[in-house]
Amino acid sequence: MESLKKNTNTLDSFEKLKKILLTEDQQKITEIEKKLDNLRGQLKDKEYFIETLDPIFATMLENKIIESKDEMAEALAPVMGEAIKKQVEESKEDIIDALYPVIGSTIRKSIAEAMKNLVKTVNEKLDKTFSFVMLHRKIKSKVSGVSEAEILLKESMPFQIHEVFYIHKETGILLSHVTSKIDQQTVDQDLISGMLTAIHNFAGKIFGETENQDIHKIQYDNYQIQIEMGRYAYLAVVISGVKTAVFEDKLNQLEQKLHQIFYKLLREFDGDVAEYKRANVNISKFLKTFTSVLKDSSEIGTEKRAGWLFLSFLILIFIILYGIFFYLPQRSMESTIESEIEKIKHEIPGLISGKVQYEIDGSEVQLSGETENWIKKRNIEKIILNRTSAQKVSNTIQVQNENESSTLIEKIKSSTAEIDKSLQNTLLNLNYIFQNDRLFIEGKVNSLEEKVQIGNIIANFSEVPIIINNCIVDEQTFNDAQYLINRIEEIAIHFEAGKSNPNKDELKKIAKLYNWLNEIPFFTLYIYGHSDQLGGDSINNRISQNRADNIRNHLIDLGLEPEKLITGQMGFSMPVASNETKEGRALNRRVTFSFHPYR
Amino acid sequence: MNSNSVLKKKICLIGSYGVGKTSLIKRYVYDQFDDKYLSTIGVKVTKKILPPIESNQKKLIQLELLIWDIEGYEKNIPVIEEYYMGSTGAFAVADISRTETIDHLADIVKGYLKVVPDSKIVLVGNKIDLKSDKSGLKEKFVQFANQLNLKSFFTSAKTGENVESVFTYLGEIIIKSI
Ligand SMILES: Nc1nc2c(ncn2[C@@H]2O[C@H](COP(=O)(O)OP(=O)(O)OP(=O)(O)O)[C@@H](O)[C@H]2O)c(=O)[nH]1
Ligand SMILES: [Mg+2]
Repeated sequence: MESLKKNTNTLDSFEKLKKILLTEDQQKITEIEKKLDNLRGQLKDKEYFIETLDPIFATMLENKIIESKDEMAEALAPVMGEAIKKQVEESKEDIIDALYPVIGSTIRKSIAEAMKNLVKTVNEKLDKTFSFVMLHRKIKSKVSGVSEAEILLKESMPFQIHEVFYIHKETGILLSHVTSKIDQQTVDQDLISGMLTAIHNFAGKIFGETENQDIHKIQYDNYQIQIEMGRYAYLAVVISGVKTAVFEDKLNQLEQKLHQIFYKLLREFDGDVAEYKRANVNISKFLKTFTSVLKDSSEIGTEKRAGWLFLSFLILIFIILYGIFFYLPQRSMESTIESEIEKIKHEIPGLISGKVQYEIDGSEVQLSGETENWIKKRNIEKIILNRTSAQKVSNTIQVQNENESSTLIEKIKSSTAEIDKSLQNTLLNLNYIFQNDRLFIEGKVNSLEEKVQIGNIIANFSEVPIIINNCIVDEQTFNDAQYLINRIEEIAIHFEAGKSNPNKDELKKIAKLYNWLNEIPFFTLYIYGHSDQLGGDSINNRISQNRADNIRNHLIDLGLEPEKLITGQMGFSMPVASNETKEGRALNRRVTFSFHPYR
Repeated sequence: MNSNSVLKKKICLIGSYGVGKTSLIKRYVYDQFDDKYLSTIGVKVTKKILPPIESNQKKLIQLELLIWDIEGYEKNIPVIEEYYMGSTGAFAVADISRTETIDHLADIVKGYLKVVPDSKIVLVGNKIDLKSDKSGLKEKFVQFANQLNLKSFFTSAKTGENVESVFTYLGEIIIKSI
């Protein structure tokens, strides 16, 4: 980030602060933390605000910081006060856009979720960026207490009126504007008036219905926006420092004066603001009683002024207000989940469609209705679990044609050219029973090998996720079992580099394994995870353990008893190929099975 | 009013969430489009000055639109009707690939007109670039417009199709109604 260029304020303390802030990036971040903590301290109900703000920061940090540390510092800067403000001034309007959507997406969509997973996710994601881990810890741990820097800042701030906006109440259109700043850059004052009015609309609706309860003060960091409400228009005055005693009286008088001059025009307001330039005279007079240097908008012409900072203030205030409001607990969860599901509907058309219904009860989603096949039924459940804040899904979706094994048999009949005759006959003589998402195959087969073969063929033809092969082999021998044991111990499930979940093709091996395991008696199956030799010991041990755990979970999901399955991590200690080549490493990343523990 | 006067008018964009309100404004004001979806919170005000338009009284009027991008309608979240106050016109936007956004529009428009009965409303069916219209949603949208007796357009914030024209159209009917 660029360092300070302008030297605008010569107050000693201010300089001191700037030095502290800008010595080094790290140093700066520490100061940002202090200011943040401090901001929290200023808010009335600390605990509540901190709770409200945390998810904001969580997602902000998550989304933005990892992308770019500098950009984030810029986005936070308006919150931080004068010293950093100077610096950010050079990057202007971008900040508003950066700030707005980042926080925006957070509150609506994930406040409930973020609250829950806060510590977990933040810690996970932020491991990468040391400095922001620090920031987060500070946010969590330090609650209040005015920092040294803050005291310096406060002392250096005499009472000042920065800008006066005269705004049409209903439309938020700016009628007239006077500023005491001459040479700074800004966004459009029209936008500020609009946003101020929107905040007023929102606050009026949420915190009180009557005119008298209008919020008339917006406190923000060192700035305060004082609102003086009139019948048709209102004054918004941006001030800093400690208010002088006469200020509010004078402001009230100004409003009444303007009302007298303009009420007729205002009653028929049509968007023509030319007439209201006259207000500048009165406003300037008012300003002069408090400040020495000032100019009104019309004199400065098209030159832009320093309003962008306030605009970002306003947007932030807005967002905080929304945060408080939408955080009301019970409503947020269900409506969050609902909007998340609606979003999925929108993004994956055809998935949760037509006959599928859902109901949300707290954090549980109940699925019902009908869908075309098992895969869809499963997918709906999985996607809802993965992509929404739902904690639990109960899935009672019916699959069409559930009991029609005839379609399956049709399929087998019509495409069995490659299956030999005897096998085909056996296939046709078996019974196929569908139950939930399982297909049971029953009947007599000639050998264990044939039984296995049949299981595989059916798996290829049907979309049923789980096949229970209950075929009976007429004369099962010890040799058959031994054959299967050998086959099982030859299986290797492979993984892509860095992955601990197998891809789809590899998953098929698990189904096969499951069928075979059902054929043989065993007490314990040892599941060993292996890795290649890239990276260190600890990472490879961990990933090999994860691989074994994941495969074990798949087998449990299919129906094997957990107590029969034991996992072990082998790291790269048992390579089956060279770790020097890509192909070799691919073979080494695997999970293997044994009925005896390795030694 | 002199012969080339400036008028500031507030207009609103209303409709369900995710229909492309923000995107339409972004396309119109900055000629940009973004695939990312960042839901609007509250209101975001943007400004655009239109080329001078001739009024019925043969005056050239420069219209300054203050465009209120209002957060999309979502079930269970209260609508803040105060945002509509004082607006002269509105785009009621639906996403022609999502039928519920058309269904909700009737209520949204009704709620809006309750606050500002004289406002000019233009119906906008957005995302026309998503071409497959299996369930006839375009037709449904036109029917809906006919029922309410409102002018409708199909737009795409993504390609920019018709975006400029809807804003110009609203600008013109606002000026003609003065
Ligand atoms: N294909 C296509 N996508 C669009 C179009 N307009 C918007 N989108 C996408 O639709 C999503 C939502 O757009 P927004 O403009 O944020 O919607 P919005 O109406 O402002 O939503 P809220 O602020 O939540 O009310 C974004 O991902 C956009 O990229 C369009 O014309 N065509
Ligand atoms: Mg939006």
